[in-house]
Amino acid sequence: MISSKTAHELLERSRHRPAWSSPYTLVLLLLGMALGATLANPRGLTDNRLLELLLPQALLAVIAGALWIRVRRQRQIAAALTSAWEAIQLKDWDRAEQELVALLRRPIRPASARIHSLMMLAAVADNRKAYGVSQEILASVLGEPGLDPGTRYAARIALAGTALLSQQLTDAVRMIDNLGREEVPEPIRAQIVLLDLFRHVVMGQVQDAVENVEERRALFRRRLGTRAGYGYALLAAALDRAGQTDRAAELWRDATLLIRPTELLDRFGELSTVARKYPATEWPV
Amino acid sequence: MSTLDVDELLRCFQRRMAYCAATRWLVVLSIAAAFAIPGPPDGSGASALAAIWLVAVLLGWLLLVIVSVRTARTAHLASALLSLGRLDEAEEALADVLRSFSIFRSTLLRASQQLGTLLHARQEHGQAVKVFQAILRSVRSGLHRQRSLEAAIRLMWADCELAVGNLTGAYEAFRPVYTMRLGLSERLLLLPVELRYDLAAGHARHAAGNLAEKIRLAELLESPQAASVHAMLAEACRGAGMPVQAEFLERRACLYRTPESPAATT
Repeated sequence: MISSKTAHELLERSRHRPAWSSPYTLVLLLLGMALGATLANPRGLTDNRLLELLLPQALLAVIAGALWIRVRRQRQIAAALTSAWEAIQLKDWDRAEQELVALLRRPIRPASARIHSLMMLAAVADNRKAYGVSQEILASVLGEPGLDPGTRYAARIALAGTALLSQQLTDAVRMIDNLGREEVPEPIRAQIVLLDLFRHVVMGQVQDAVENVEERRALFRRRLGTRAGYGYALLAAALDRAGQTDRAAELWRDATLLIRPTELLDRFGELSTVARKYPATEWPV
Repeated sequence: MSTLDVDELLRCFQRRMAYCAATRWLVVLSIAAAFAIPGPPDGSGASALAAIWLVAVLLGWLLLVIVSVRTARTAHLASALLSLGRLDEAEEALADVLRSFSIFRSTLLRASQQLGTLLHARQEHGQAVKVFQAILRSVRSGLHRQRSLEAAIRLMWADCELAVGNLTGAYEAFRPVYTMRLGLSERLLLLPVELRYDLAAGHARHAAGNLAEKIRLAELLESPQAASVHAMLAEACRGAGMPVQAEFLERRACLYRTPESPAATT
């Protein structure tokens, strides 16, 4: 389990210094200057003929070695990122946590790779129901300069989701309303609509939750893939509360055809009533 | 895009790859030569020449990197245009990349891979196959074989062969992929190609094997691809005498299906 202390430590340790002030750059600069000096005035450093011949080659070898170490580190980062991403996709949360904690213990360059790792760590914390930790990480990501729009939206959506799950309703409503007012591409719109639906279900706003059911259903189907199951389940909960039991039962069947009921309930405790009331789809595999 | 255009672009690609390799070797040899020049007995003259030589090589390298970064930006633009479905503009940008110089092999390889994807999207499967084969030749001639890229190219090539009903060609294309260590993204590419091949070749039982794992992977695909894979798995289960699973998968396929979903089989 990732604690707040661990998250804070990882946030600090993974931050890299600006290129001009990092020890690596300074060492390379010094080596470069030494190489220049030996080439410009071979007798300046030593009178020994053999050393005079070998010194530039040795310095070049050290510079090449330093560059090779940097390239190897970048490859290790890329491999660890891929491995953590695969683990998250396959819901192997233990492996994902292990990979990410190990990766974030050292400075990560480029900044985009660090942000990607932190977003994955926030997802792991969210899955562990450590919402406070997830919020801390996401807030830190949102404070980073030069964040690309896609990542910014993903972080804002995730932050609003954790606020809802941890019952910080005022903050959650403000964040969701802000997101809802923005013009965004349809895949992001689908995630915001799902979040908005969850907000209405959590807050018992049944009328808002059952508005445009078919439109939302079509959007989830188009853009959320298997995660559309979460949308169908939340729509089922809303329709059940609105007394439309036939439609609720149909949507619960669809939801459990895509995602097993245990997984739905693990994510949204608010679904327990519909889970008890309506039959779920049997999985023959 | 005519055959002539594709052939011309492929020739450009092969020339650029050769220039790229030659330039890299030239730079390495120049640096090595600068350091290998033994100084004369008095020590000063040759060393000064070596220093000037080294600085000139490094400046030249910097210039090539600047030119290559501009080419890489055009390649990035082409990729964005392709993902937005603006194929004509993407084609122009890709032609620009393949006709420009780049010191980065990855830029040229990515651009040619995108050219193949573009031709595949336009249903010009024969042309796409030519592009994929040209890339594979370049990848294999490199010092390090790029497994991930090779797997992706082979799977797209196989998909093109399946689209024209050439089962032997498809098998030939993707068979080496089984000997590679595949990551999740390559496994996600392999799944629909393998299923299409198995169904077209009448290997329904094989297609329906390891079903839970295949469903798990299919769940990670976007809706249109997930719909297509579920429909193929349903067909495989029907063929393998598993009607309950087939019905379950068909119902799931309906839930994923969108107007953009590709046809289940060819």
